[in-house]
Amino acid sequence: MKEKIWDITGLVLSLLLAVGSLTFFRACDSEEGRHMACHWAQNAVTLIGIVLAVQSLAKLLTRHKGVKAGLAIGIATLAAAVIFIPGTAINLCMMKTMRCHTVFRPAVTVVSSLLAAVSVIDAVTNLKRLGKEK
Amino acid sequence: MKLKTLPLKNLVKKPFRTGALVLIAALMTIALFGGSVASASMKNGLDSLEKRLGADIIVVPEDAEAKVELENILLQGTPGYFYMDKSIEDKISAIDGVELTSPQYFLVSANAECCSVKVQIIGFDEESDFAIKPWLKQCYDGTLGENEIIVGSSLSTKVGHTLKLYGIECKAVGKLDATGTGLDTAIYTTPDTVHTLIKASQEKGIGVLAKQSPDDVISSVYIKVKDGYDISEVAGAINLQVDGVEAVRTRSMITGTADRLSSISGSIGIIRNAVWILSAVILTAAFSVLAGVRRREFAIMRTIGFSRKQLGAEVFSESGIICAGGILAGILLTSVTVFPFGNLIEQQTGLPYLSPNIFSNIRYALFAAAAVLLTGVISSAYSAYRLSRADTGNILREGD
Repeated sequence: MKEKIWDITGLVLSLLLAVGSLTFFRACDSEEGRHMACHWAQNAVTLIGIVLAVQSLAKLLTRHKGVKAGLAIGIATLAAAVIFIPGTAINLCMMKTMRCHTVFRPAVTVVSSLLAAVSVIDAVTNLKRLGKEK
Repeated sequence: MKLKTLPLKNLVKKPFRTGALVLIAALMTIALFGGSVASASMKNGLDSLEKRLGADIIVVPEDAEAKVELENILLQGTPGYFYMDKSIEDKISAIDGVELTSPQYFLVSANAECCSVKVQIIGFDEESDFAIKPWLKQCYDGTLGENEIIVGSSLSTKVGHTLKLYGIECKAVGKLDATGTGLDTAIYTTPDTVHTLIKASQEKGIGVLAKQSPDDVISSVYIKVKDGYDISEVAGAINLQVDGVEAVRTRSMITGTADRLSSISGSIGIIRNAVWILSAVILTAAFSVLAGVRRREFAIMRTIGFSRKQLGAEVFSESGIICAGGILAGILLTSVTVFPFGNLIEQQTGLPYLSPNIFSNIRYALFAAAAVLLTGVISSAYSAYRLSRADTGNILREGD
């Protein structure tokens, strides 16, 4: 069970990124049927959140330490990349008082940073265990 | 087994007990660190607003809505507009005690190109201005050309980039310092550019929320009072001698905000101290109960050769590790909530909010860490004393 803690934490954070970016920490709402600039950043974050959730689920189900370490490294780099989607890779709205700046971007930064940190710890732990097994 | 690792191993063997104590220490850290940062941010915001307004008096049209709208523009960034005749500035300049006057013209843009949001556009007179240019973070060559703008710090437009307003590409040539107020969300430009924007909006058939030209009207006049003159008296003279205007002392305008800020800061202070005292009491009680539960364990350790000093050190080490865990968790949790969500806190409280610089934040974190560590050590001191002084023989016989 102890070994699964990092896997479960990673899966929860990935799901939080995918679901949260569409719901409780979504970007600005569309008005008059027009999407604002941040809408595309939100779509990108949701899509990558889904990919991260699938990878995290695969990591939870597999027992091979090497595969787990490889997936953890992939998740860590992808999560770190997500931090730069809102505002850097894809523009947000013009005013920093808007929802995409006050809620969406900080929430994505915090969740992605935690996911990256958890995945790095998981990768190191699995690589150490793999080394001991050999 | 190394003796140095014994406290950590003891804690790891009892994960729920350790977790609960770490949680209490974390709550104490959050209250101390988060409370200090939040109070300092609000105080910074108010100080910044007071400095940033720059003028001693602001003159607005006499109708009751104008003053409220000016406060909304300045404090909350809610776009607004109101007008009075341009000749009023000359009348004000002639009043004894008035040193400098600078008119401003307020315009509210319809939705900007990228987003469904209204933007406050402030037209100011570059020659007489003393309130905006001193706060330029990134300098420009001194004069604003055609379709050139200065942007507030909360606009994501960078210097050198353009912002499309009513189809006109406006080039940002300067950016103002952050104030944590509504002034951060405005665009500043010359009356000529304002003129161009109004014309462009009419051509595009977009309703602009202003009907009068900056050639005929102004929205407000910023006034600097001569040294030696009483600001209230000058404001009174303006109210008496100029019809249709209201002269507001900038200090009195932010008094309401200062009062609200003071009451919120007071509440934060009370919560912070209450959590601190409560946590200290819970920690003392927890360590005391644990000392009773672990009497036999410590008696055995004494029998196998641990000195009283070593037993005391064991208790202090355990409480130190618990506090260190709580401090780390507390600082991490505060950092991921208070700092990234500063803008949200500003919006929800409706108060100016400006985070302290990194060195101040480090100072607050160190203070919180020292306070939590000291509280933990003091809380465990009595338990350490009781355990190290207990009669080993009696305790072991009790268990037979």
